[in-house]
Amino acid sequence: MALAVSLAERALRLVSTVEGSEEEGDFGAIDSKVRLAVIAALERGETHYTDRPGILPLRQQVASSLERTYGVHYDPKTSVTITCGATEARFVAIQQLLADGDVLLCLSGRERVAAAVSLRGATCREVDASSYDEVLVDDRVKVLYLTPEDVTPDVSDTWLERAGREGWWLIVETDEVGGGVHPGTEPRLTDRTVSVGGVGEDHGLKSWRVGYLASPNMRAGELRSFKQALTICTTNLSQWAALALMEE
Amino acid sequence: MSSLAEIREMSGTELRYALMDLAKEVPDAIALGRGDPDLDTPAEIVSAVKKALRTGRNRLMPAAGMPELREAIAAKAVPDHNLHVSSDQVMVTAGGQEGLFLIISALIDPGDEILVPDPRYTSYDQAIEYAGGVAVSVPTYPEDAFDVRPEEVEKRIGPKTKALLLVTPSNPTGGIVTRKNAEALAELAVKHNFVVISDEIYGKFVYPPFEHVSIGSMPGMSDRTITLSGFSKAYAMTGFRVGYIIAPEDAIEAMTSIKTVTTGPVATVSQEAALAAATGSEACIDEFREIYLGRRSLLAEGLSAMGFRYGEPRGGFFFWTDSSSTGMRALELSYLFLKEARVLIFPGTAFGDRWSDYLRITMLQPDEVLKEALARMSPVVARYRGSSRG
Repeated sequence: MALAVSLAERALRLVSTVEGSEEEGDFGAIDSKVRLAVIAALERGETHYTDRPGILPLRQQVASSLERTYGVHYDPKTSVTITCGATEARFVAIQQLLADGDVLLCLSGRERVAAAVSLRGATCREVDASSYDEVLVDDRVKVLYLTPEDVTPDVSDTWLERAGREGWWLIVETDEVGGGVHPGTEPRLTDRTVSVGGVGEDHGLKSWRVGYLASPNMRAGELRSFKQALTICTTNLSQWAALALMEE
Repeated sequence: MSSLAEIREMSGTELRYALMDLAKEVPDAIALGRGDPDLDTPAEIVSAVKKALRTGRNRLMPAAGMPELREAIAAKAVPDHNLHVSSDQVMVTAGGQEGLFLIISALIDPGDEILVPDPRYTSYDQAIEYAGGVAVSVPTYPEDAFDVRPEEVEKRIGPKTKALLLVTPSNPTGGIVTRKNAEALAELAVKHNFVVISDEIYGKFVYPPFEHVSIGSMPGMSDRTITLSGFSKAYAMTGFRVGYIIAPEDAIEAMTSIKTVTTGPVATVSQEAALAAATGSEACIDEFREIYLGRRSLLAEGLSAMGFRYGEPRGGFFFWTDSSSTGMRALELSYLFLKEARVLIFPGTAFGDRWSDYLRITMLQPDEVLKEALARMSPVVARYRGSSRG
């Protein structure tokens, strides 16, 4: 059966471009410490909404981890928001930092952001980091998406210098392993850098759907508001599971 | 504590969250604001989650949801919504809120109009604004207990009308869409070729003698209704974040594509909990309904004693209370209730600009706490009655 009216153009466009869900499958046994923490949370009655930015101890762990791993500082009370996986973190950042017709440049990981950019009515352009001089950049560019591993000295001198000069926002995909140079450590970019990532995705927590976005104060409120409008808060038990893993 | 002047400029969702933030600064505050059931999640659901944790299933599910859960929701759609659907017409979402976002994103192109009841939960407006749609308010009235009048809808139908949003029972009014009006609205949808988005998240709590009516079950509506519901309110499990959508297959496919981009699959632990709810006994819901009925009587008596007028809620969790007899605007009164009575209540402007003389009061506290809240509120009303009209 089909709906009696036509679907939105953005939806039809996505149906033809989205290749499918994230990797389905089994991520092995649940870590015993995680399991015990979740059972304890259940017994405390943690089955209702949490604060919309997420439980504070988890936000504090995320902020500590980003500081320890990448040397970037975010205030857990005002600047860190817990999300439904890294997917929601990327989605919220992209929807809030881009407008219709804008362009997001990505130095890597196009597959992680292209559909969200398309849904926003913007364009995702993948560029070769080493071909800075050959890439045409116009004033529709508003965001640069990259990982810390992308930040070589050349990239810092070219793309990041340009980002600072043009006032682009940076969305930086972070993980728990670290490595590379986080652009948020550069003073010229600190206030324009949003970090997004997942919690425990490499440690069997992918099915629990916990991620984060960490942003400068000037945009934190609107990012949080959009997350609230999308899902209110992240699954309560998942947050306690993530906290148990991060405290380990 | 922030001043009244600071929150006076706010409305809608921003106002609700500002008041909730203020309430955190008030020791011993009684929350009659947020729509989060205070009741415990049923023990059978908690046990099922523990069992799932012990058996260790740790799989990432498909974006549309765990197949067993989609099957269970399809089966439950018969008693809950009078809908006969396959699991391909069902998807699982991260709460009703994400469901709403997906529906609007999949349906509304920039410039499309969507008819929405007034007052309403303003998160609908945020989703419509995101999609570039235009929300066209359809007034509802206290004299018919905030039912949706078909003639008010028909007056606002135009060439750009793509959808009508119904919320039954309503948040914030507690009104329901009666069968007679639902039938007339269905006829309008067919005649003018628009879709009905039927938000039935509070559908389990319709109080006698009224009945819950799903417009999707009416003639000609199966291919023009998108039904939204979930487990949060019915089973007091808001923290699990599980909602669902029932719609024709092409709409489900489109919304699933969008969902892969917004949040991906719902947490597996949450879907296990929802599966237990969907396949378990409904005795807990009957019990919850009785509790809410008792609270409804208690609040009704207390609010009447303070001189408030209200339509008795026919469903849901809320009293939509006319506070104009106090002589104060509802925002001012809410602020005083929080500051001086330590009771959090949302003013009507959190649900629409023209509702400055209304308060939304939840039934989501135990009897003794509701009594304490009423006891704290009463002297505030007596003290300030008629004092200003800011």
